[in-house]
This record gives sequence, C-alpha cells and structure tokens, in this order.
Amino acid sequence: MCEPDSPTLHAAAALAIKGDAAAFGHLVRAHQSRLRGFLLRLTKGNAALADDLAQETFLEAFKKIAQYADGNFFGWLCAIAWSRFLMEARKRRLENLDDLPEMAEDVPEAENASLIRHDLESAMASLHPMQRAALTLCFALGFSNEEAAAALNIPLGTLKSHVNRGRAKLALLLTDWRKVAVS
Amino acid sequence: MNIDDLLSEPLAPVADNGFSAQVMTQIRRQEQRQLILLGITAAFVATVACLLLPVTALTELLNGIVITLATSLEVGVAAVVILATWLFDRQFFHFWN
Repeated sequence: MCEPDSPTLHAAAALAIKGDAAAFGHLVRAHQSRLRGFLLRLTKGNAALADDLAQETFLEAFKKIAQYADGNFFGWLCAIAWSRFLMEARKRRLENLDDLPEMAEDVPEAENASLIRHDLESAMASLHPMQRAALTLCFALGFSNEEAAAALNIPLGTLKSHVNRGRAKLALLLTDWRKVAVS
Repeated sequence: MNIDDLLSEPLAPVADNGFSAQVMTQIRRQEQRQLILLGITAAFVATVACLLLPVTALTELLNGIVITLATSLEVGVAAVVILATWLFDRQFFHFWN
C-alpha cells in the first residue's frame, strides 16, 4: 500500500470531495512531505521548483477533487504532480530540464544526509526522469507496479522496463563510484 | 548495501515550514476570485436581461396569472385541502380522541 491506511485520511478525502476546504487542508499537511520529496527527486534537488510544482499539484487537486474516485489519494496526487512536471519539462525544452542545478544548496536532504544517500541522489540525478519517477514510486514510496504505472500514465510493461533499466544503471554508477573512492 | 534496499529507503522527510498554510491561502484566494467572477457574471446577465427582455409585458402577464389564481374556487379548495393535510400530518387535530 502506498498510502498509510489511515481512516482519518480516508474520511478527510471523502469530506474534501464534498468541498470541505478544511478537510483538504488536513490532506495537504498529511501528504506534503512525501509529495515534495518525490518532486525533489524528479527535479534533481531543485527545492524551489519542487515546491512550486507541489503547490500547483495541490491547487489542481482541489479544483478537480470531484474526479478523485479510488482509494489511493496520494497516488492520484503523484499522477497530477508527474503531469505538472512533464509540462514544466516541455516548457523548459530549450534549456533542457536535465540542466537544472544538481543538488541545490537549499535541499533539505543534503543537510543531514548520509554519504550513501548523497551518492544515491547524485546517481539518481543522472537517470532519465521517467526512470527516476518509476524507481522512486516503486521503491521509496512503496507503490505497486500497477499503481506506479497508473500514476505515470504508462503501460505496466513499460514501467517494468524503466524500473529494470534504471536499477541497472544506478547499480553500475554506484559500483563505479565505489571503485573510484577505494582507489 | 543491496541496491533494492538502498532504493527502498523512504524519502527524507521535508519540513512543512508554512508550505501547507501557503497552499490553503492560495486555495481560499482562488475560491474568492471564483465567487467575485460569478457575482460579476450574474450581475452582467441580469443587466442584459433587464435591458433586452420585455419586463413590463412579463410583469403584466404575471399579475394576470396571480389574480386569476387568487380568484379561482378550484385553487382555493386545493389550498384548503393541502393546509388541512399538513395540519393533520402535524397532529393538530385531536377531535377524535
């Protein structure tokens, strides 16, 4: 399950569908950390861009709350966040989203991150955004393959392919860095 | 460390630092903007309707209907029946006890 099975959150989602702004506020507080973490990884640590995208995601979610049907509210948020991220990537086509500053100074993770985590984030930054998103959803956020494929709006087979390629590339990068560090 | 274990580590928590409050402020502003827009649209439509529709003719027509209904015996009887049913339903009549 990719979302804490909290009856409070389910109840809040049900109230938010009826237009209860306070209930939606409860959902924002409950999900902001994981959503911003997901976007931080997608934007390669650009905290300002990640927060802008997270804010747009929540605003769009509130506007389209009536369209939310299934029980995975966070998965639905991730789907909106991913489409927002893609729109931003297209907008920045000339400067290429991959040119975003890697691990900006105000990245919260970097402050207290272990070396391994730092290596992982750096290696993640060199992956294709789709691979980053697929790996983050399937591993760090605990989505099932079906849920991740739905959030990224891609077929299940394509998702598995992205996960396998991303994992292989990540393993290669981390092994190479370890060799360099040892030597 | 196994790559899968490494990947499965949860994302580092991101402190709220007023983010949620900012989102809710934006939502409230958006709702206010929508209400203002709705009010302006309604006022515009009402103004256009007043200017274009034959208001005097419609008022006279409505007056005629009201007067006809008010002087109609059938409507009067129907009103009394409805009122009596309502009073009976609310147990205003206890004469059979």
